[in-house]
Amino acid sequence: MWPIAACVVVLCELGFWIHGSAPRETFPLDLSVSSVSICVGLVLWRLRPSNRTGVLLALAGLLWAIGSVHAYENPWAIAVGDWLGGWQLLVFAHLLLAYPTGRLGSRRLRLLVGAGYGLILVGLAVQMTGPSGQGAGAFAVWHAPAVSDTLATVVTVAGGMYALIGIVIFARRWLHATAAGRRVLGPVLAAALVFAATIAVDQGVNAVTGSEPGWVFYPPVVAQLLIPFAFLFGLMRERLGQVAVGDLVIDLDATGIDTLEGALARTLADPSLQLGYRIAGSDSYVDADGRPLALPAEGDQRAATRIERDGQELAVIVHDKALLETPQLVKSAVAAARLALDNERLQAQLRAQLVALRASRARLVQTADAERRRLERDLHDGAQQRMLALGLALQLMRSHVEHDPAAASLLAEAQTELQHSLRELRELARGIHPAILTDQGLASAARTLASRAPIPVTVSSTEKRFPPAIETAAYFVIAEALTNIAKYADASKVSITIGQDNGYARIDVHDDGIGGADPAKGSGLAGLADRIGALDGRLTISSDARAGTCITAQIPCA
Amino acid sequence: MARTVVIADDHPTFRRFARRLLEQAGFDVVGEASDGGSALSSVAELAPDVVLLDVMLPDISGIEVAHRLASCSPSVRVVLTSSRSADDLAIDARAGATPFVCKDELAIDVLGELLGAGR
Repeated sequence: MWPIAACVVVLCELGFWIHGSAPRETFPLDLSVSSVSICVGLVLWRLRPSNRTGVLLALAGLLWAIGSVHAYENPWAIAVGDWLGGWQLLVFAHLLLAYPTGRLGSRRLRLLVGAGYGLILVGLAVQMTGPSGQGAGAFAVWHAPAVSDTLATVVTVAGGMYALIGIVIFARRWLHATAAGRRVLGPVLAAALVFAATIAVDQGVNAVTGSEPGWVFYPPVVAQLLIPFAFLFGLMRERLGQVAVGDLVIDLDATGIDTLEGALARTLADPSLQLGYRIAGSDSYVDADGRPLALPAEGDQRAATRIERDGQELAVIVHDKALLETPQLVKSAVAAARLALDNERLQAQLRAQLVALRASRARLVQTADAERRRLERDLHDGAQQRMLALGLALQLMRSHVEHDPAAASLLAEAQTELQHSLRELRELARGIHPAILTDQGLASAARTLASRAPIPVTVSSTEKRFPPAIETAAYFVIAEALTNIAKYADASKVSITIGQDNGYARIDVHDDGIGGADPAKGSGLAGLADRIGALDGRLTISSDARAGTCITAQIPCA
Repeated sequence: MARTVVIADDHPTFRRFARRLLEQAGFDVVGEASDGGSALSSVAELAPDVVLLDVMLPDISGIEVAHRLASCSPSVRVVLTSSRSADDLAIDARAGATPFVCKDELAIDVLGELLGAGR
C-alpha cells in the first residue's frame, strides 16, 4: 500500500506546484529528488524484491516529499515536515552504506547507522521541543536557548563527522573494488562520495558560522538527485549489457568451444571469470584444462553461480561477487552459453583424466627409479662386499697352500672366477642404476659412458644438475643410443650434447653411421620413448644413410 | 720396523680381511675407522705411515678425506680403494697424487707396489 501512498504524495506536490501554491523556488528540485527516488526505488524493488535497496530508495524519496511541506507557514506542516522529512538524509546514508546488497554488512556499519538514527532523533527532538526550533510556539516545552543552541551545534558537528566517515568508507570501497566491481558499483559509489562530501561541507559551514547560507543548500540536494540517477544508470547498463549476449552467441558460433570461458569473461566484463566442471562421482571441480578448481568460500570476494539444465548441473561459473548485482545479465549469458557447456564439460572431464594419468605415469617412473637406486645400493653393500671379502680370504689362503701346487692352482682358479663374478656384478649394478649418476650427475655419467665406448665419443655438457628422474631418463637414452651405435651403426664417431633450452633439458646423440634406427624394430628405443613421455617429454629420432642418426630427447624441467 | 697402517672403511668384514692381508704383507695395522671423521682423528692421533681409505664413506667421501690429509698430514701415504671401478667414480687412476686400487684387485704384491715393502 505504501508505494501507492508515495505516488499520491508526489502527485499532490505536483498539484501544488502546478496550482502555484508551492512554497519556495526550490520546490522543483525537491519534487525531482523525491519523484525520481520513489520511481527508481519501486522499479528496483520490483526487479529484486529480496534486496532492500529499492525499498530504502523509495522510502528516502517519500520522506523527502513529505519533508518539503515544512516550507509552508503552518506549525503542523512544519512539525510533520521536520519530524518525518528530517529522516530522509539518514535513510539515504543507510541506503548507500548498505549498497549493493541492501543489508549492512558488518556490526560496525550497523552501529554507525544506528548511531546516525539516534543522532537524528536527538536533533529533531531538540529542534521540535526547544525554544529556537521552528516548532517554537506550537510544541516548545523547554526554554533554555543556550542549551538548545549547544545541542544543535553538537548535532551539526556530529553530522559533519558522520559525513566524513561516509567519505572514507565509500572511498575505500572504490579503491578495493575489482575492475568488474567498479564497473557495476562505480556510478552509485561515485554519487555516494559526492553526497557525503556535500553534507560534510554543509555541516561544516553550519557549525563554523552558525547558519546555513543559501549557496550551501544546493550541493547536497543536487547530490541527492544524483543518487537515484546513479541507480537508474546501473539498471540501464545491465539492460544494455544484455546486448553483449548477442555478441556472445556469435562468438561461440564462430570460434568454437575453446574460448567459451574467454567469451563469457568478455561478455560479463570480468577477466577473472573461470568455468568449473564437476568431476563425475565427486564434489571436486576442474577447469577447462582439467586442473583442480576450488570454489569460493563464504565471505570471499568471488562467488559461484551454478548452471543447470533439466535439474542437472552442467557447470559452475566462478566470478567477481559484484556480478551478483546484475543477475539478469549473468542469466542471459549463461543461457546463450548453455549449448556449448555440455560439450566442454565432457572435454574438461577427459582432460582431468589425462592430467591424472600423466601424474600417475610420472609417479611410476620415479618409484621405479628409486627402486633401482635401492637395488644398486643393496647389491653394493650386500653381495659385492661379501664376494670381496671372499676374494680376500682366498688371497690369504694362498700362503697356506704354497707347498701344495694342486691346491694352489685350484685356489687361483677360484680367485679368477670370483673376479669375473665381481666384474659381472659391477656391470649389473651399473646397468640397474649407475652410482656415478647419483653422486656426480649426468655430465660425469655421460663422460664415463663415452670412455667405455668402442668408438670415439665427444661429450659437450652443462654441469648443471637436473632433477633425478630427468637425469636417469637422459642417462639411459645415452646408454641405449651408444649401445645401438656400437652394434648397428658402423659409425666412426659420436657426439653427445647435453643442455637446457627454453625450460627443457635437451640431450642429443649424433653419429655418422649408416642410419636405419627405428623404434618399431626393437623395444629399447620404444621403451625409452615411453619413459621420456611419462615425464611429459619427447624423443625424436632422425636416421638417414647419408647423415647418420640423431636421437634427441627433450624433457620439461622448468 | 714395520710400516704402520690405518684402515678406513665402513664395511667391518672388509676391514677384518684387509687387516689380515696387510699383516701378512708385513704391515702393522694400528687402527681402524668406519667413517671419514674418525679416519681423520685416527690419523691425527696414531700418525700412521699409510692409510687404506675407502672412497664411499658414509659421512664425507674418501677423496675429500685424502685432500684434507694431504694438507694436514702430508707425510701420510694414502691409497684409495673401492668396490666400484675408477670409471664409476670418475677417478683418474693413472699417475696422480693419490693411488687407487679396486678392492677386487687388492693383493699382497699390489700393496707392495703401491706402498713399498711392509718391513
